[in-house]
Amino acid sequence: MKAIELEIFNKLFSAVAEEMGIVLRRSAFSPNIRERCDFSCAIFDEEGELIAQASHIPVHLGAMPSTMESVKPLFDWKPGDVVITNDPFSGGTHLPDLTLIKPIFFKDTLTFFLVVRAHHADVGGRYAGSMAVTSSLEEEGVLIKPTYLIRENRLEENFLNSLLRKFRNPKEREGDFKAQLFSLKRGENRLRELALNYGISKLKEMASALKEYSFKAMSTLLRSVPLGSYTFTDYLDDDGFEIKDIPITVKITFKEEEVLVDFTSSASQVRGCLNAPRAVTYSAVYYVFLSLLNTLGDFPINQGCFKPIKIITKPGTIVDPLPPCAVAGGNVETSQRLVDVLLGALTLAFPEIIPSASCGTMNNVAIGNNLWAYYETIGGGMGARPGKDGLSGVHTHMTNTLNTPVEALEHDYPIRIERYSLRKNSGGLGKFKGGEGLIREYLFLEKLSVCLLSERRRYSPYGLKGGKPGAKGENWLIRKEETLLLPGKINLLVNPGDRLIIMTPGGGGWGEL
Amino acid sequence: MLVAVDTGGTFTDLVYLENSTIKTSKLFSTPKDPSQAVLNILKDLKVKVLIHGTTVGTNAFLERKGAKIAFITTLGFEDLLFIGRQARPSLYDLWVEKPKPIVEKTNCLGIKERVNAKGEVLIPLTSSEVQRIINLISQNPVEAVAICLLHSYLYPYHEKKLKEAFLPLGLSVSISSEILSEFREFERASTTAINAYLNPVIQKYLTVLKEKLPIKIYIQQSNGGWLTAEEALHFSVHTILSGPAGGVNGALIWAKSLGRSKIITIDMGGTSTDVCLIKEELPFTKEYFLDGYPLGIPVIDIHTVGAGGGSIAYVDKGGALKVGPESASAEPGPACYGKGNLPTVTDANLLLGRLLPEIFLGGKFKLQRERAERAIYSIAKTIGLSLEETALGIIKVANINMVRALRKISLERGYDPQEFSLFCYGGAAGLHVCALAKELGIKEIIIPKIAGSFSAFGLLFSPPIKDFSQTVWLPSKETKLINQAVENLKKYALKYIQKFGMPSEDFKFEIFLDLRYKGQGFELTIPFQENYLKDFEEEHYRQFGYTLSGFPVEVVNLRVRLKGKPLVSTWKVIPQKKNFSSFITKVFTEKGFVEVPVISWDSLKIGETLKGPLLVWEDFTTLWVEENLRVIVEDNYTLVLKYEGY
Repeated sequence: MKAIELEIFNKLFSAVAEEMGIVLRRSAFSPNIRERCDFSCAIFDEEGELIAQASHIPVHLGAMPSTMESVKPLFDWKPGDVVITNDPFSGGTHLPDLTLIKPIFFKDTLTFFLVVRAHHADVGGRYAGSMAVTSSLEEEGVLIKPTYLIRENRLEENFLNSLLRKFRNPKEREGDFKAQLFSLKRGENRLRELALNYGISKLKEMASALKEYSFKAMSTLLRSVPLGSYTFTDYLDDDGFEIKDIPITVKITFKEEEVLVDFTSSASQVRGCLNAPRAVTYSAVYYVFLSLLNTLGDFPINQGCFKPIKIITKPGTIVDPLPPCAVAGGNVETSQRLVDVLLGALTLAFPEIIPSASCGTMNNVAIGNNLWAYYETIGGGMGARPGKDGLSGVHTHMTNTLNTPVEALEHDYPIRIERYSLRKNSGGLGKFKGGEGLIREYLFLEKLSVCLLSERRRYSPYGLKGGKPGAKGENWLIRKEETLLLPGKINLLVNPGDRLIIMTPGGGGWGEL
Repeated sequence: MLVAVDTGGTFTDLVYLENSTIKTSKLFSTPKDPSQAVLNILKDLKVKVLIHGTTVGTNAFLERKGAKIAFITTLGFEDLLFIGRQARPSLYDLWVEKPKPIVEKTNCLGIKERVNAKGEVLIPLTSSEVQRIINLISQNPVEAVAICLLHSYLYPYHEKKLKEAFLPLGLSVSISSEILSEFREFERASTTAINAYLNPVIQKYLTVLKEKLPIKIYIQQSNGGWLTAEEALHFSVHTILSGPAGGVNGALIWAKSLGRSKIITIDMGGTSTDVCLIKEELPFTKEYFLDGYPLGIPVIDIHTVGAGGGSIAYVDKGGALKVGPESASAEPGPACYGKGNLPTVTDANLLLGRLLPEIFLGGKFKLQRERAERAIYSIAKTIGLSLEETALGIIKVANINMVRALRKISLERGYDPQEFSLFCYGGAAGLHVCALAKELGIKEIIIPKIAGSFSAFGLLFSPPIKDFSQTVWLPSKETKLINQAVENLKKYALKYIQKFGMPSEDFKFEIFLDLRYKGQGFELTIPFQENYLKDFEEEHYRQFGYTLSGFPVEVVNLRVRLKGKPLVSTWKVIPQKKNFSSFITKVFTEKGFVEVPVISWDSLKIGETLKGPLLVWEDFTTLWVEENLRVIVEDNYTLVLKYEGY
């Protein structure tokens, strides 16, 4: 009977998380939420273990459980509470990701938590869009330590109003908060219906059974690899302040019942914003192992998947930094390099599966002034796969956000897009070819501030088994007669008529030609 | 005489009226030349007008057998169709692929011209530039051309100029400002390219059909209304959901004749199940995806899930029982059809005693029980249950997939399914609907007598429809400008249908606005009338649970629909005479095997009431009525199932 119930309850729980996501996306204001799907919704049990998650970008994977782990013990949870946080040092990722947590009680017993996290278009700080080259958390925006947004059904109005005042465009942020709160409400209603139909004890029993089921599946995957250790190092270009290699090293050890993922030899934390809070590092590890698990079948994503994976980091390193360092780029850039490093190490363990390096950067562009902020990321080339070319002009690995239609962008902002095309010959050659990167050319119609956070401008995405590396990315500014090659990370002021050309990296090739 | 023919994957169905009585017939489809089955089924009839639901366009698209096309866009955006929204279709799949292309990259051409977001020309389109593109295309000839220039929904003249230049070359030309005059360049380009890709296919098909069948032919569109064959040649993208749209339209008409107007339709076939929620009027979406490509035109909001009679059951590597989305489809089919060995939902229904081998498809097609047993045994062994328990498990898992689809269109959009009747048609749905209704708390189930050829019935009663839309981006307080824009679009629409020789006095306008709070990314479509802002707020509240009072509202698009009258409006059903007496069979349920009566639908009388559990059958439909349900025979021998106590 269990075989049948597993599938039924898997669908029932995931439907709740997915519906929360639909409510949020369709009514939110931030382009990051509505167009780019930069949000996640999840159900946790009373222990704070993940039961089901609807996530559209993997970078929240590890962060949701980490947030629960940090925040759960801090409060004496009561029915009608909602707690808010964006603290990168208690399970957060970067400041724009605002997380709301709601405990669900049945009678007087705390039974579940619902969590919804979403990337708001702006959380204050020095630069519009809150995604800039900075050297401290303070410059990046408002830090919200875990605190009540709603306490026993009473909205903390003073807190909310003072918070909104610190954001650009507070009206829209208020709309986003409403969308998040109603997403929680919808999730709660659905859980109560499930409880009514199946009973609390059945729900709890099946939540445990689902974790066990995913745990077994992940264990099966890990047991398919011969015992042993694999090490790999790759580099970040720079931290935005100083051109200096930033190595990230991983040693992956397959043991009888678990796998150890050890980052202790990675670089120390840096001055710029590339520090990846531990939750981001966890997300990258989980993403890689879930992708491998996906080759065995479609298993529910819950705490069970993560149990056989032990992650070791050293506080004070780029993958486990200490406050109050800047972190905005850790989530979007370092997370991608972490995946490259992990996949590189696993090449020998899974030779038939592991692809060459993909574009390895999200090519973040934040534009704005004092009144508004616009933020987008640009895809690139996917690494070639054993047996298949890489895809061209897509988001890879830790992100999967949609682009903003050019016609919508031009209607909403004083910007014109002059070119949006595949970047020819940027994919690494090989038996199978890496995907091509993208070219996006912006023409600015007003005086604006622009922040770029991009990587793989010095180090190319690697090829495997003799495949050639993908082309490096390039950022250009054309101002009057001048053509300037820009660094990967920079805060700029642009004038009307200035053009910015972003050429994103191609994927690495696979196999000798 | 007026007839309707729906070509489906397996069967071609005919429905017509003889002295207002519904007549149906069914033949196997002829996929190689679908017109063959159409001609065969009409052989002995004197037909004057045919309303036709066709899968020719859809199939050509799915198999990528459309025309060789060129795609022309603003210089710098040639790769538009390849980049799409720059997302990959699946998050954790290392082997993920993008949708298969419909145009070769070398045939995607950039043209020098530019219009800004206000509709002002920044770079005019010169004649020499037009000539350059014509030269390029003559070097590498194509059958059709799709043109989508940036901001052409505000300034269509560059596209029109190009179209005029191409027409003398004898090419089929689709321009985005005529296909879908709305912002979002990728969605508009995709819709336009699909149209160009399919026009020559539809043209070939209709030419053959018209040659052999020199009568008036109307083609059903995805919006639930038909257009003339002459027009369908230019707007093939509108034929994509031709058949399913017929079915949903039929369901609404049939339900209304019984006094119901809030229904959820479920049409379960061999590989997939279509569901649709209807409240008074047919619902539309402009976010339909066809094999990875967005269709921005209004399409009846049908949600499809990969669960059907042929869905294959298996045990995954973690030990859970899964059903679908892989399907044994028509070839080799379920194990009991005698060709394949894979356990399917149909095999499970057979083992449970809900499908009766003796009377399946009128006894013309013998089901092989032993093969089904062997197929299901492979799963039973793995999960340690009896054959029947396993079969019941397969049904439950298949049902949860369908329940998921039903939830998506109801609860997730703020509708309570308990306020709706479940309206079921298609061959296989009758075996599952009681369990589905129970899971969602639905109190009433409706099954029409001709459930097996229902799409064709819907076609027969469809009206002619033509949709127009226009992006305007006006603040809702600009009442005067909005009214003016609506009047302009109405004028354009009227002129258009007069051009196609349709009697405009029979047509009525339906006008809608796409609205959103300024800054949101999705619009809600609201009927245009005095209180439309209030309606918008109510709809926003219903779907999302909140409103933002005082926040500016933006009119993004205008929609004008011209809708004519259906060619017929009344019908009756007369049962066929059959010498068949009911018998008792054994059906496996949660309580083990129970004895239930098997009753022929044709033996039932209007007004009669029966009690579940029982099986009701006719040649192409079997209905499994669970216990605690009453069956009432309503008008036209419609079976209405109600849970005891309601």
